[in-house]
Amino acid sequence: MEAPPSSPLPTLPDDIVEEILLRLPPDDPGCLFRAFLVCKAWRNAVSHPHSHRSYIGLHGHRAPPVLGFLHDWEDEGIPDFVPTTTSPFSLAALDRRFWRPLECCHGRALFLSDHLQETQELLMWEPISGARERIPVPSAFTCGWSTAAVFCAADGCDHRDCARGPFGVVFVFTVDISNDKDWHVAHQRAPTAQSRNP
Amino acid sequence: MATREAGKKMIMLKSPDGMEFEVEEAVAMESQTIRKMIEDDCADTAILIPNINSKILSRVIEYCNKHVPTTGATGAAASDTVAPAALAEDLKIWDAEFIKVNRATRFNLIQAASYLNIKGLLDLTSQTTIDTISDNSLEEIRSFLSTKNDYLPEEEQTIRRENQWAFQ
Repeated sequence: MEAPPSSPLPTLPDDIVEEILLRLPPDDPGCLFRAFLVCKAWRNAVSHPHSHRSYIGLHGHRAPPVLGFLHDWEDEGIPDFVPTTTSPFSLAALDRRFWRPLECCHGRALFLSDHLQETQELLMWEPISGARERIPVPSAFTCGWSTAAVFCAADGCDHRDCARGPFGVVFVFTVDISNDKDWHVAHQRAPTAQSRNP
Repeated sequence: MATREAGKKMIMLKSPDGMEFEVEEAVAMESQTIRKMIEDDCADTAILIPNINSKILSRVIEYCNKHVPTTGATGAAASDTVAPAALAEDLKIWDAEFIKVNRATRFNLIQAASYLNIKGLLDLTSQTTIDTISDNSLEEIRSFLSTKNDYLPEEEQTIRRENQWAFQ
């Protein structure tokens, strides 16, 4: 660190602060939090929607960074969410004892409730916004060999920042249509969930 | 006044404190702001660069001189004889020396790079601040920037508590 200056530093205008903060490395989310807490002007520069668009514009050509992964290995010594970022990024992941991860896509993860529960249901989780939404499953879904996937349902979305937008869920399950063990696969698309942030 | 010297078109840049700098047009056009003025035929007379004093403007011109592409119709193409990787390494070393300035000068260079729209210089001058945010605690970042913390203590504590991992 340099020694404190003898004369006051020039104050950087807000637009230049924003220019600097756009250059924060996308694979180190801890930087964003520290910049957020420097002062309120920096908080505004980091959190303004315009900044989000500019940040994506500057870094959007790169593959989105992998923040970490979930695992369901029964070992209490390993956290549910394992970060892969420079900073020890953490998330309040769902309890793996009750929710089994099925799939993730477009910034959302889909979980199925534990089969021991009376009524099975899905839960959509947006790790970045923290949003969670429970989704009932079709009755035939519980017949085994079933799974589901979540996807962004916003028209024209490039899927770089579609959190809090509309999404859809595809169910795939087998239906026993006869007694001779002739199984078929049926597909069903759930009604698109309403955007929570229109 | 735009003039010609040794076959190269020259542009005059003026700082608000009255200093004049005659630079090659190609060097001046490293600034996208000046490039637009030239392309819009607004550069027949000397261009006044507001808010950037002569000391900072001379450093900006020094940067642009070093970074102007060496290939083209005028002058020998350095990249014909020097490998691009070696040129890039040379520029990196040069940049590292160039940015060894005090914080006030660096902040003034950031503002000049932003106004003149010189992406490479803005990247270079911003990087020190980015490095500080990446490598230091919040208190050190504020000290480095001489920034006053205007959060209420309880506001700061709440954000720290909810995102403890980011401040370890």
